[in-house]
Amino acid sequence: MQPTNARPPVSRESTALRLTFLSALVVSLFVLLVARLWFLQIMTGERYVARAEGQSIRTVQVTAPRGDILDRNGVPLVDNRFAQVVSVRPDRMGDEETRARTISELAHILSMTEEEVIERVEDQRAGPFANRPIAIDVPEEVILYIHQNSAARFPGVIAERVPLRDYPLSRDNQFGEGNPNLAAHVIGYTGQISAEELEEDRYADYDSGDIIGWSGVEKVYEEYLRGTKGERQVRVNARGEILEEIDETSQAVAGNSVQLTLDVRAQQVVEDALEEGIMTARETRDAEGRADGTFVAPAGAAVVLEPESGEIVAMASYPTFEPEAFVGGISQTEWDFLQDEENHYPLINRVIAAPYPPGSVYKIISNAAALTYGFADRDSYINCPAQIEFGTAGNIYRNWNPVDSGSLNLAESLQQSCDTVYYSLAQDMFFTEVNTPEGQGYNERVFESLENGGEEVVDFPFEYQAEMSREWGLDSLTEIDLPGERDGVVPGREWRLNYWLNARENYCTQARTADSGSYAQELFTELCNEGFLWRGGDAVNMSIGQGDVQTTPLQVANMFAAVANRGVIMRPHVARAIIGQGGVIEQFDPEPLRTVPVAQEDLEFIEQGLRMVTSTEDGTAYKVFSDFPYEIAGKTGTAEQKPKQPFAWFGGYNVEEVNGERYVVVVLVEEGGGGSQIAAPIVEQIFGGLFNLLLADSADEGPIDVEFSLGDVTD
Amino acid sequence: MSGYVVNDGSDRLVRESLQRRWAGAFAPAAHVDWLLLLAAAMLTGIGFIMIGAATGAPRESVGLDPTYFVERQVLAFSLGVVSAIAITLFDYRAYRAWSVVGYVAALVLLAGVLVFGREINGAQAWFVIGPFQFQPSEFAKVAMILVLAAHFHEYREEALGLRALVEALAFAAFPMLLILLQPDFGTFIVFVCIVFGILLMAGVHVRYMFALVGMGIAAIYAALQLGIVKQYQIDRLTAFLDPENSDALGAAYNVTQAQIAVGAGQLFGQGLGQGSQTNAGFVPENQTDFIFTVVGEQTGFIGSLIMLGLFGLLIWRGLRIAASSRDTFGTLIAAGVVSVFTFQLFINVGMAIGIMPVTGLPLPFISYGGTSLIASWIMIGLLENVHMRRFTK
Repeated sequence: MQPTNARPPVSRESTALRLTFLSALVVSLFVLLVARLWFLQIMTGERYVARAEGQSIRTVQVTAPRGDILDRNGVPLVDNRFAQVVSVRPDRMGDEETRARTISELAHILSMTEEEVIERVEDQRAGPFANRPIAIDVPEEVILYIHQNSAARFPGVIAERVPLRDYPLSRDNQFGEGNPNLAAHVIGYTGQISAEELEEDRYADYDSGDIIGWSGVEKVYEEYLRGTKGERQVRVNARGEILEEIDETSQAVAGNSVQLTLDVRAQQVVEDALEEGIMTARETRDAEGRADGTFVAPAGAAVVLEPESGEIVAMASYPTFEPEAFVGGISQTEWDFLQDEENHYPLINRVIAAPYPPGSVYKIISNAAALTYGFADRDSYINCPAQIEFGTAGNIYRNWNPVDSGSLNLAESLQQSCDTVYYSLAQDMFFTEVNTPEGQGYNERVFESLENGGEEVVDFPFEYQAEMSREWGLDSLTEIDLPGERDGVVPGREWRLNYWLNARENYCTQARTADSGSYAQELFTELCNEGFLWRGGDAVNMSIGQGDVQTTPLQVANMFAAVANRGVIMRPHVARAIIGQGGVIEQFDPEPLRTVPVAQEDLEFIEQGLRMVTSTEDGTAYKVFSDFPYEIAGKTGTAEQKPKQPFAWFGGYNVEEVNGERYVVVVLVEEGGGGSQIAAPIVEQIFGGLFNLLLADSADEGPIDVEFSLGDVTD
Repeated sequence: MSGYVVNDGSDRLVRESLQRRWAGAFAPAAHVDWLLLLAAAMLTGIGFIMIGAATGAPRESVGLDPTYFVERQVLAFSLGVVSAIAITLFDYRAYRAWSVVGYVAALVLLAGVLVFGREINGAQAWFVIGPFQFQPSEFAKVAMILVLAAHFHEYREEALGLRALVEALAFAAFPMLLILLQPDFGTFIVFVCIVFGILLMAGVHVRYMFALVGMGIAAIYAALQLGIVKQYQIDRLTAFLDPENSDALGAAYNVTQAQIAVGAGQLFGQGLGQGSQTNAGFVPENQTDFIFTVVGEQTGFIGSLIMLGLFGLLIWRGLRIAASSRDTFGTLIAAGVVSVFTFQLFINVGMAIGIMPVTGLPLPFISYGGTSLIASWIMIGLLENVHMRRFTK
């Protein structure tokens, strides 16, 4: 009898039924799994393979070595070496905590301070997605350690072998001791492309993190030097770290080499001479000197040019820098040092990028203007008194030499660098200009035009000195194949007017704020009201390379080249050829830049004057060059730029070919004293060194021995 | 006659009776289900290979011992086999009496882990003792099976009324609540499945079963409406439905990467240790919960079928043991074990191939994890125990 309120116990049949149900459930679940697997792996497997590869196979670019930079004889100034570099991608370093830990670990294994690492990680000059190099030449075991621990401890850290710029001549070499600064301003330096540069058209096919030339030949010949990147496929893990290389789809091709016109030995001679000269200047007494009575001589420039071809044989700027410092990213500290005014901006190539008042070397132009425009001829004799009075105010203009030198022809005026001869000529030219139709009433017309809002265009009179200066390229770029060139200043009425229009506001403000009755108020009131005036005094100052005229040392070198070539100026250049794997790809042939409108005879006459500078007892550089075995046509210059000490200039060239070569050499020393005193001895040193190099191969003549000794204080 | 037949062979009879008793004690050993053992052993072996394939190369590349995980798994396996043998030495019917002790012990451990345990991957489910970790919920599964089987065994001859059902649900509720507190949602689901399997085989009336399912759905709905379940938890659970567009980035990422891995395995797989997904860190936890991605990617459809086939063999033997058991207790033990293996397999593989939500749950025998492997082998021991003694009076 079974209880009525209960169902019968579980029967065998019921159990079997329920088991069947459970089995059916199991089978259906298995069918579901298998069906889904069939769909995933068989039907759509291809798609997942593609997706897996899409995220695990990455194409990585292989940095190509840049082309070499060679001297004219094929000696490499710059090539490449492969180095282990540890860098980071800040955007892949994880959160703040991970980042801090990674930086601390990196600092430890790289033997750096955490601050140094942070400075490099946070370098603002690199783009946000660029690798930021932390350390180069990292030992193999450190690289291995990073690789082994990359996932766990070094997120965002990349250790790889990359080609880096190398400077073989910075180490001891076949020519002697290494010089880490050799030709630094010519070859320039490299660095990572900046975010702004990436936007520019010329860098359209560059990527973040690429190394580009930042200055010098590295920049100008970037398109040749730059190699073609290779590509390789790598397998990466979920963190983007490279697990293995799959294959190299294209090989990196090194860039083409640039052969320079520079001769590394000549370059060394020039750098040594310039530095020695500057050091000597710093020990030389100057009556108006700094506290210890010597010259400051903070900087200088020197250039050696082949006048026939325009090839630059050597080019030095002081102070200089080490291009090596930029390899792998320059540190902020070093960068700040190079940008500090106190260090006189070592990165500036003063040969092309710094315009200076030329001082008396400019007399070549004044001379040419006088001869060409008929203010004098080769037979004219002009008085050279100690001073002349000029203008209605009776201003006195002095010669550098306080004695009357009698009557000189124009060649002798160069020989003795007589200022007063040029004052007289400038005076003549000025009055002639004033009396032309454009010159008559010029000032009144400008005043009138200004009152009418300055819209009326005023005609300017022909200006002899300015015109001759322009004909010699003094306000144009020399078109040298280096970046950052400046064009200098050739002043005149138009230049003065434009300058004044820009500065007037400032002059007038200063006039209003100056103390009433002070000299400053008087000066600025005058500048405010009539600062555009081109006065006779301006012309007189300009005739001896003072006042507003400014030239770069390279422009001055071109002046001497024009005389040496009897009129033709070749475009100066530092690159001779582009050399690829199979040989010369492109040759840069000499090309004329301009021809000065001066008669051959007049140029010969000027050369005669320049020769007398060094070869006759009355010549300003006679003391320096009297025992030099080759004749140099040269000119001294001592440019005043108060309150600074005088800037020393000397330019010159060898009149006769030495072993088939002629060189124009120009040296400038900022605040270095007199041209004859400081610059001429440096030039003599350079010529001595250059000729020794030329004569080293010929047994005919012994080497020239030039002792560095100061010249006379002349002009 | 009897007088002189002194040595009529009584010695022999005594000896034979002794032999019979000895043989009787070992008689069950003659009925071992070798296919079941083979399937379990082969699955464990596949587990070793897959753990090695998942961890060997990546560990070696960073200078770590490549066989570390495999060695620990082999150690767990030997413990598992010893436990399984020990389980079979005693007649399973003896466990009926002890099942409540095991149940209480499991509750104590589950409560203890909430206090003393360590949180790993968001669930406080682990005791950590030196280099070893121990997950009590794995053993709780066994205790749960035994206590429910024993419970319904008591009702076998009587009417299976509501009372029996409520009592059974009460037994189930405590450990499941403790597991939810960890919270370990995956294990919770497995418990639901164990309860379902045992209720089904215990003969609980179909209408009660439906009522339970209805209540379950209502409970889930209420939990969602009342905000007991956080939105991110819902997102994680539902990310598998549309991983490419899910807001739950982490969960969806795992789901997507797991599917890419399995899909990329295609027919033959990419080769052991050659998984571009599983060996390069795209699929996380791929020696534990996501180990099927390794199977799928590295051995392909073929390898996956072999593994599923072995599971099929194991589950078929389990169902057969349930059917042939001499008593209800044995049937229900087998049903519980089958439920564990079946649903854990389905949930685990299902989440790797995008048909189930992602929950932290090991793949029995295959996933790295000592407690899980030992518990699985204990369950094999239970199945064998039931099977070996199916003829015992």
